[in-house]
Amino acid sequence: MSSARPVRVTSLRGRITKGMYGKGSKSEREAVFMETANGRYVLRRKAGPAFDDTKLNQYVGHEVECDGFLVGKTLLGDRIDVVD
Amino acid sequence: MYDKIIVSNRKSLVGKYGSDGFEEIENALAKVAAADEKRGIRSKILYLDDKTSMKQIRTRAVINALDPRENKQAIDAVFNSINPHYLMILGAPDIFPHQDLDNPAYRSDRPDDDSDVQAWGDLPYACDAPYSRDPSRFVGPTRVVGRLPDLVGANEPSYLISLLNTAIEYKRLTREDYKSYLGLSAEVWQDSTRLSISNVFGNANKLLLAPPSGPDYPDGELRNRMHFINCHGGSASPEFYGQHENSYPISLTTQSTIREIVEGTVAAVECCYGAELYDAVTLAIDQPICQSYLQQGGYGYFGSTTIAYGPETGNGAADLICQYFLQNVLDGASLGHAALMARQQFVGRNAQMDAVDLKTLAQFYLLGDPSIHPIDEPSATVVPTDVAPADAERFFRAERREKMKLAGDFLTQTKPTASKRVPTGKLRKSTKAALSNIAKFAGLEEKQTFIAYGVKGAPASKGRATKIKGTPSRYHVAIGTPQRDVGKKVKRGVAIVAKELDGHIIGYRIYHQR
Repeated sequence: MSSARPVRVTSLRGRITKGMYGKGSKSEREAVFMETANGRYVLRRKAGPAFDDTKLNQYVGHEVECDGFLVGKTLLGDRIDVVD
Repeated sequence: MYDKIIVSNRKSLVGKYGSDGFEEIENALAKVAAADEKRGIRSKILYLDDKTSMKQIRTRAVINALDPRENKQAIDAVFNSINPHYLMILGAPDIFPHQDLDNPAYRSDRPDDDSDVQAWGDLPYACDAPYSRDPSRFVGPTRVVGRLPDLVGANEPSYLISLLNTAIEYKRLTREDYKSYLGLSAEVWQDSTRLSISNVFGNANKLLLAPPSGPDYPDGELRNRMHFINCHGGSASPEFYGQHENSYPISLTTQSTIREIVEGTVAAVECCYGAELYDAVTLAIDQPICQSYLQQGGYGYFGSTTIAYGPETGNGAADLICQYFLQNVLDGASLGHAALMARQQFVGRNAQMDAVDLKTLAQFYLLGDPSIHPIDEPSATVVPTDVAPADAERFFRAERREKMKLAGDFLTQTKPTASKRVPTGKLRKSTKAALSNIAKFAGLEEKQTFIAYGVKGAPASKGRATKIKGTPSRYHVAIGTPQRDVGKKVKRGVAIVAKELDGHIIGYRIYHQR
């Protein structure tokens, strides 16, 4: 198959951080991550841009709960709520 | 015998589209074969899960449709038995899987640097070497391969039928039809892209930068038939992005390509994930840009499944393999032959294949019918009137394939590769100092950690005295963020690849953030 098979997640909890992603590659940028008990994912809004989504900044430093899809190492959220 | 084999999986197609949908696909495939016959190409559809068909080529049918090893073994049997001039894979990866090559640039201890555990792609299907996840086994491609994808997650076949219609109705166009181009680059990469575009088209006068260009092109630039795009891209995203300092405006979207891509368009796209066939149906987002190109009559799209690499200025990695593909199309090659030559040229150009080179080779692949010749290039060879044109073309094609086979075998036998990590061990003081200096020069910490990769496959010189070794003993690779950018919103990372020969650092390359 490939990494593109989406896995539905609901009420996934984690802390939101910022950090570098894709160092040295054409994807390098500062990205928003969600640190969960099961791993660390690049967080995006499903309806938002893949790069420089300023609307995600409001979650940085917070514990959130998220519904959406895991696609490889990327979490595409269609609901993100601060819970702390 | 057959010139072109179309491979797919019957059970997967029926499971996805039902019997009626499968029948529609079968009808369209019959028309593809009939249209190919008129062009002098004998085509055959082969379902790799069909026991009878597979028995005829003396191999087992594929049982697990999505198993890369089984599908690779079945494709190898197709080439051992039929040895077609063209292989067209029919279906997206939920019908026919990509091969699961390991990404040699991935580090489990630093997964945020390059998060791709696998460098998915179709490269191994184009190689004689048996199944393996080690990309260094596949540096000698010899086969002409392309993929005509359906939509991942779809339950009705209209998308695939539209692509098959393109394969049925395609016409060779003139060189003049491909004279105009779309050259689109993130503003920060304009030096590199200008060089790439000049190499392909002889000038870079029409290069568009994003920003300010995009996502819409009201002046019709998307209607040019040759496209070279060097922007950012993200996984499962129907958008590409430009870049100016710390801003990443949208440069192209699936929506902005609709009714703008003209029949016959051929694209080479460097963007990360630029040819990722993600599941837009389940995600309820727009289909991938690459699939929009093909739906609108685009003939071919050469792109990457995963994160791609290239230097900030000058050309390397993704820049080169994309350039070669378009140059070969402009020279009159079929799409599949252009992709095969691009792969061989890319391997041939590198003295050794380091981790970044190997990932580049593994991740770029062709979407489109590989037998399509976009440009009708007159041949200097005259065919006597008593020889059927199709027979003559078949002979010339066989000649070209033989040449590519020899070139691929030569690369397999001679190209040193560095895909496996080896213990760094205790470095000489001078080696340590050299690596520290390079790290410092690149803006990294002097104590930057380097990972060592062993070089294998270096041919021993025979029959002549050799005073100077032509192959390094190891590569040292470091990826990091320059100190000058720490604390900035936009950090421009670097990947350093340094060559070591018997304890001495003899050269290095620095890949900058693209």
